[in-house]
Amino acid sequence: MQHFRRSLLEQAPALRRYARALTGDVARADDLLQDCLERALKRAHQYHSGSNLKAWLFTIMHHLFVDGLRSAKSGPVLVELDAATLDLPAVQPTDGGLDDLGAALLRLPTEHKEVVLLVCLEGWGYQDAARILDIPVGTVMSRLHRARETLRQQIFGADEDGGAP
Amino acid sequence: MTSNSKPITDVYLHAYVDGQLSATQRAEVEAYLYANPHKARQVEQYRMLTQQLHDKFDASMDEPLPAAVLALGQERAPAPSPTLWWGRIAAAVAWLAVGGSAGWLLHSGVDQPQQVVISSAQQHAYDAHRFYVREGRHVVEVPAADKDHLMKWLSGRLGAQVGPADLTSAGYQLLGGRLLPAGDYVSGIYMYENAQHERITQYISTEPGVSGIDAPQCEAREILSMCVWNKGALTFVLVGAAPLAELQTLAQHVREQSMRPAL
Repeated sequence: MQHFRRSLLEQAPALRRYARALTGDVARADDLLQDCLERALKRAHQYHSGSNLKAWLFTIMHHLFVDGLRSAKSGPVLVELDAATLDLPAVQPTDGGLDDLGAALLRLPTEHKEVVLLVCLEGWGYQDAARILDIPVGTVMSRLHRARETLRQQIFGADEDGGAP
Repeated sequence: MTSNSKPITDVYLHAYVDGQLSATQRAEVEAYLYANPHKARQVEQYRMLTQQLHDKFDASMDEPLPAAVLALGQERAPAPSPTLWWGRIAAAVAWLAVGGSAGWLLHSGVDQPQQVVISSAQQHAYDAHRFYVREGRHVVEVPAADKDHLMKWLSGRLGAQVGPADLTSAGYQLLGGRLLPAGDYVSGIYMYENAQHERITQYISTEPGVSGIDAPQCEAREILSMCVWNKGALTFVLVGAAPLAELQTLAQHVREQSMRPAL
């Protein structure tokens, strides 16, 4: 069990990076990280040793994040669903200010954000991302396309020709 | 423009950027990009986007983990007990307070990544506190009544004038001190106690711990808080069960007083 705990901590930095990008908020990210590891400890018996611990932990974090959004839907700060038309939320700019990328991520629908972060930031393959999110690979690919295109156009101000400013 | 029979869709372009294609497929995409500069630019921007994500978020991986997360790595407290829960709240409050006022290393870690592993000098300080704090009568070798003698004795062995701090304004009285071995180095402690019989240990050692840390850096470690800084060749550590923010204030008092030339 001590070994299992240590293995969990080894994954904490990557989980924390993912949480940071997902929430856009340092404190919320650390709460998510802690909840994730606590749940993993509580459900250690469900983990099949030899299978991919890291993927299992990302799966847990995905569920916690989505559940958290659902239960806090009535809260005033949440801006996850189709926020493209909304103004920027009053989330604390804790990552050295809310730059273009940070702002664009916050506007991205959760399903798109998760895919783009798992693939581009965390380096998961499409198959793994599909397993973590429990969606078909085809869905991963189509969401990835939409998410990336949205970000690309917001960051590089790309027109149809892909011309950058 | 390409003579490929297979149409290159956007899905292919993403898979290309993400390294999900075989060598043959890669060659096909590259030929296509060569013939379609605006698609090549799009692909380039996808790549830059990935790079920007890393630039923005990778630093978070080097920051020290929160104490509450580190504690999960320890075999302890099988089920969340009320005590643990309160401990977590207290820790969280302390962290917020410190983070807000003094910029503790957890949140300033981006500039200067700190290692989670503490130095051996800090570990010795931690152990010394835990070892002596529960002693009733023999907690110190030289009592506060012999303060001058104690100070001369420790200063002589540490090779620098280091006296105890006056923490009465913060509610702590000096109990006394003792000399300690620390491998090849020399260490001394001054111990203080408040009206609730809570004790804190000021540990001073010739053992290098941190360098260039002028302001006390504090962290919670299990149930204790610990602040470390250095002055010249000496490492200073303050350890106690006080909340992190309180210990940090005490550490600043100790530091300020140790900066003054001793009389």
